[in-house]
Formats: sequence, C-alpha cells, structure tokens
Amino acid sequence: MKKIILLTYYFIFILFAAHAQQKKDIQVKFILDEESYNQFYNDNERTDIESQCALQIANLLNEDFPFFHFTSNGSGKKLFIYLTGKDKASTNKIHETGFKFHIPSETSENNDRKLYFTFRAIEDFSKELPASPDLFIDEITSVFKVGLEQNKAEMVSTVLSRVEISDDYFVLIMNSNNGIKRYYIAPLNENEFRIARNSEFRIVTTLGFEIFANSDDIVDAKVISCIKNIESARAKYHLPVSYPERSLLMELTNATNTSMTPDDTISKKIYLLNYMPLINTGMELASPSDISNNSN
Amino acid sequence: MDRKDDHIFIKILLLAFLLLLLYSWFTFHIYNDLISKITGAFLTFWAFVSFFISYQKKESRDKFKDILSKWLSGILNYRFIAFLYILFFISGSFISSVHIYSNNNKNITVSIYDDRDSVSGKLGPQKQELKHTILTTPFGRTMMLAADGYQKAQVQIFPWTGKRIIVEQYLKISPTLILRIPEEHFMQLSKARINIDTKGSKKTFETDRHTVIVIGQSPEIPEKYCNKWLNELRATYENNIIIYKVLNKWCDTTPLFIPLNLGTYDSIRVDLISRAGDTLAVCKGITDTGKFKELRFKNREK
Repeated sequence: MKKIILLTYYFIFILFAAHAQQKKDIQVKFILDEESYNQFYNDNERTDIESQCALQIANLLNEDFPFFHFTSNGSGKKLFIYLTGKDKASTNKIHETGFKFHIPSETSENNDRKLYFTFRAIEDFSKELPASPDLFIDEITSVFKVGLEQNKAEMVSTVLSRVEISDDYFVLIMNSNNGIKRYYIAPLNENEFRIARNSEFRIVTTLGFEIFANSDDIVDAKVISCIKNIESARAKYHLPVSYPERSLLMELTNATNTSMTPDDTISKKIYLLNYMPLINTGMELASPSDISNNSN
Repeated sequence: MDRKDDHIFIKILLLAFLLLLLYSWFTFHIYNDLISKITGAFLTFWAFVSFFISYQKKESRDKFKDILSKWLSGILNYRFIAFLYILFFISGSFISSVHIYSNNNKNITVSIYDDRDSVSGKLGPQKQELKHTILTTPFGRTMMLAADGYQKAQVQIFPWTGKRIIVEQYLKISPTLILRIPEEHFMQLSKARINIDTKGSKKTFETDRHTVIVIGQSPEIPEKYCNKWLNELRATYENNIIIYKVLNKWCDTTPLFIPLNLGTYDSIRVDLISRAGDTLAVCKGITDTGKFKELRFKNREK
C-alpha cells in the first residue's frame, strides 16, 4: 500500500514537473503579401509556398530560440511573418521587399510590425522570380536565415517578448548582510530552455483590488543562476514541487513600490526581453602539456 | 489598176501602223512572253508555207498567189481596217495593266484587289517586277494596293496608260508600335505572356524576358525613345543605379519583335498576363500616320 502511495506521489510529481517545463507553442503563419509575387504564382503554389516556408522557418526558429516550441500547424499564439513591401504606403513602382512580424495582441498597444529585415533590396527589382516554387522557397528560407542571424536580439526584444514564456514564478525572499533581497524563480529548466545567465525577463503580475480596477505590477529581472539543489530549496523555502531542477533564478534589475500579497494576484506572466543562449560546446578542456604530449 | 489598188500603199501603212500600235499595246499591257510566242508562231507558219510553196509547180504557185491575193484584198480594205482600229480601240479601253516594282531586300507579298477581283504576287531580291493585266473601264477602275510592311493605298487604273508603281515610293511604310513593359513587372517576364488583339485577330506571345515589344515593321528602337525614357526615369527616381538599370533593360536588350501589318488608325489592345494568369497591365491605342508610335501599358486596377 505504501509503495502504491509513493508511486502515485511520484507520478503526480512527474506530471507537475512536466507541466512546468512545457514550452509554449507558437504557431508560425507565413504570408506572401507582395502583389507581384502573388501575381506570379497561382493559388496552389502560393499555398504551398506559405505552408513550406512556415514549416522551414518554424524549424529555424526552434534552432535559434529553443525556449518556445514553434510549429507550422499547431496551437498557441500565432506569429505572422509577412513577406511584403518595405513601405506599403509608398507609391513607388518598384520597392524593396522584406519580412515583417506580427503577433496579434488582445490589447491594441504595440500591435505594429516593428521588426523588419530585407528579402530583396530595391536594386534587385528586376531579378526574375523562379518558375519553380521550390526554388523560391529556398530563396526565402535562406535569406530569412541570414536576416534572422543578424537580428536575433531584435527578434526577441520586439517580437518574441510579446509571448509569455511562463505563467508562473516563485518569489524567494532571502536575508543577507545587505538586508532582505527578493529573487524570482521561473519554472524553466536551464538546459531544456537553453537560457543562460544575463538573460533578461519582464515579470508582469496582474493585481486585483477590491476598490479599484486591476493593475499590472511590472518588474524586470536578470538571470543570475539556476536552482541546483532543488530539494533544499523545496525544504527551506517551500518551492513548489512543480518547479524543476535547474529552474532559473533571477534578481531584479528595477524595482517597484508595489507591495504584493498572494491574495492580490490574478495572473503571473514572464516575458523574455533579452536572450543569452546557453552554449553547450561539448568540448573538453585540455592543458597545453596534454596537447604537446599528444603531438609528440 | 483599180481605185482600190491606188490606195494600197496607204492601206498597208494604216495596217502596219495598227500592227505597231497593237504590238506596243501588247508589250505594255500583256505579258511579253505572249507577244513573242504569237510572233514566233506566225513566223514559223509563214516560213513553212513559203518553203512548201517554193517546191510546188508553177500552176500551184500561181493558184496559191491568187488565194493570197484575194485574202490580202479582203484585208486591205478601208472598212476592214476601220473595223480593226475600232476593235482595237474598244479592246484597249477595257484592258489595262499594273506594273509593280520593288527593290526590297526581303520577299514581300503584293496584292491588288477590289470587291470583284484580287491578284497577288511576291516581290523580292529574286524578282523585282510584277505585271498584272487588269480589266478596267474607259473611265478607269479604283482598286486597293497592299504590300507587306506598307499601308494600303488606293490605285486608279486607267486604260491605255495603265499604272506603274514603285512600292517604296507609292506606299507609306506600315506604322510600328513600341511598348515598354513597366519596370515593376520585370521580375515576371521569365514566364509572362502578351495577348495581342488587333483587327479582329488575337495572338499570344511569350515575353521570354524581353522588356520592350515592337509590333509592326521595324525591329529597332529609335534613339530618341531611349533619351525620352531616360528623362522620364530621372523624373521618377533619384537613385542612378535604378535609373540606368531600368534604362538598360529597355534599350540595351533585344526587343520582342512581332511582325504585323498595321494600317493607319488601326486599333490594338495588348494585355500583359502573368504566369499565374493575372492581367498585370493593359495597353490600348490607335496607330497614326507616323512610322513609330509608343503606346503605354497601364497597370490593372487593384
């Protein structure tokens, strides 16, 4: 009987842990929004180009931003990537085309497409469109890859920062020589999410009060480490069991005067503002003497 | 010698003059080949008869001379000669000819026609003259002359004088239309096509990367158009790279030449169709009397 209870507890723990570490899905929607391209390819080809580009770009994004799960046909928030003219309002006959990004928001703020990078410069206006959609897909994905490489930081700060990476955090209050210090723990496994130190998050806590409307408490925090001894954290600081090993530990970079109590909190959301990837080189350190011995 | 014999010389002169007129008339209006064949046949016949007679007995020769004398006296008759003149005059008033010449270095089809008749032939480096015998009236006949690469023109064909035409001088060259593909559609041109609708016929051509379409007779683009286009581009764009890239596409590449016989004030419609079948731009216009005319594409309304 005792074994069954332990096993059940273990399963519940695994379930919580798995839930906590689950990456948020982002559905990539690629849209061919340039009239000249749409005039060249027929409906079936356009559909094929859009779906193939969405799939390949989702794969690229998964490689570069492993803290989300990008899919081309899944669920979750939609990331619209438009291949469109740089300036849609322009009356110029020829124009530059590029990629614009948009994540629909429930609020109207920041709903514009801030990030843009070039697909075909204006000087390439006469470059022929390939008759084979596959060649065009290759051109789109290869140019997108280069553009993404050059705009990774902006991609996170202006686009991906609008999707919450986690719906929970734990506030850790510690006494130190300088007084009481507040830390935040995100239930994100460092290795799973590939988020390294100095990555910056925005922590948004929606507070509800009885006498006036809800308000958001917004603080920015920076990753300083991860929880390596999870059992001790659970025992000493009552860290919930749903928080996995190597959960990210953050300290505030700006503080507010809001005094939160658990009863005030309606929702907790964490957004990634600045991403430092966790590099896993797999290399072993070797001393100069080892190298000289091997070469001899 | 009787009275008739007194005028035999005049009669022979009148007959000879008639033959001269007839020969000249035949030479001018009827094919030379026919004249030489008739003359040759007549001389052969006469030589054979003379040879045959010379070997006959004297009685037979005298008899033959009598017969010949009766024939000649029948022909050498004022009434008969007058009849021949009148017949010739009437015939000459209803038969005429058109002589068409060209020094064109390519083969062209020339035709002359009206509601009742139509005759045509080819002129070119091998054959530089065409002759057509035409039935006319004493007051002339109006027909149309058409030649490849030239505008049609009316021709008045009168009897006796006929009509001599040098194509290059008589006909105006057919107008040539120049159509530029708008620069915003350059990227479409590898697989785009154009539909040409003129004079009731519709034809489709692949653009095959050509940025200028020349429809008509002259495949080259006159220099003045390139200068005009450069000025237009300078007014539209500031970036010199773009200006000269577009200009080079228009002026330094071979245009798509579509030979077509356009007449003055012919209407034409050209549709630029994308690979997917969308109409990108439409060009409508009417030719005029100039040798070249530029028509512009207008983008389809979005």
